Amino acid sequence: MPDERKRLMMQEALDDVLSHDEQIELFSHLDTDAEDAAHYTRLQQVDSLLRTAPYERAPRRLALTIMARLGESMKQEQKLRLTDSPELSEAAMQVALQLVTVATLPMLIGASYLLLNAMSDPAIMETVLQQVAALYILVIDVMKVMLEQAQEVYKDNPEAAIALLALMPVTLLKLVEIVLGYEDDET
Amino acid sequence: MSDPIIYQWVTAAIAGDQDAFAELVYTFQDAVFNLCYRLLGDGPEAEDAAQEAFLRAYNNLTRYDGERSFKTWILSIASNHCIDRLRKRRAIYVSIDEPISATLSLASTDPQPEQVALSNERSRRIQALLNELAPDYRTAVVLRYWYDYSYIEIAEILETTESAIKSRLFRARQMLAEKLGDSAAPGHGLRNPLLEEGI
Repeated sequence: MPDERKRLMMQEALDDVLSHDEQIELFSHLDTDAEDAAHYTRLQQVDSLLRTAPYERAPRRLALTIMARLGESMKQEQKLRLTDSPELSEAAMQVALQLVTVATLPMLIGASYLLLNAMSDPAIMETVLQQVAALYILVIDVMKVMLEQAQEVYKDNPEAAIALLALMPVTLLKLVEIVLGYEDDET
Repeated sequence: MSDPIIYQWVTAAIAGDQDAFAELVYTFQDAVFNLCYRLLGDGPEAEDAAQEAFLRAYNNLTRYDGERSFKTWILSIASNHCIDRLRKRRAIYVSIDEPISATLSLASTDPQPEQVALSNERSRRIQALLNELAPDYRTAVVLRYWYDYSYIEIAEILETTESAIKSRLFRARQMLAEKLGDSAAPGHGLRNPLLEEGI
């Protein structure tokens, strides 16, 4: 039956944590016990084998792959963050569509003006009514298509709603510029 | 206490500087990869585990304690991840003669072909022996021999007690000694070049 204390001392000797006195005790024991001496030799072989074990270096592509995966995961996270806040994207989409409606208002006001002027002549009135009705239908159709397309875009790219919102003031300003420029030309 | 430059990189990475995190990756990739390779015994899987360890580290950088060594911290993440992977595997006991993936040839240096062959042979045999150990024992052995960590440091990395580490190391060495003895025993049919080399 092996002496457990001696076996423990052998292990501690390998890790250099055995006191001087214990070392003397252990090596005296090994001089007299062939079985334990053989066991200690095997432990030393394991110890030497592990101490001289090669160190595997990382493949050269590892760092690049990690950084690429990190970039990809950050992109995904950003997308998720936007998808996770539908209130923000939906609100942006609503505001953008309302701005589109506001942009089409001058056209509708113009149509109403024409309608009022044409009230004196039934023939003109009929033509104007038809044209205004056609205009309204056209505007409604355009709005419907825009809404459907916006919903599609929003589904794939939630950030598009915010981009659309950001672009609207610029577009409106351009429209105002065009209208003012037209009025200046008239005068 | 962490190296000031390392700490600076960590702080910058937390602030969103990816170049700073890349510096951390370049500095510790070998240590993390070697640990994963020694624990998993498979090159491609070790590569994947090393990537995962770094990504986990990035996502938890704010939890890193600057008073600790960054290397210890990242190795702790990597070893826990590898232990999880090993536990998910079925207990497969690999024969000492089972070949290890060719991708594991030492890509690091440019030694002579003979040296490469010898080194590969040594690496292969060591890995085959390691593969026979349970994950907890294997981790303790790898951290002790490849990273020269003390019992206390290993206990800190594996979140256990010093006596548990001591016991795992003792038991692991005992088992490895038996395996080495078995593989060299007459009639076993296996040559043991390690013993023949007089190691």
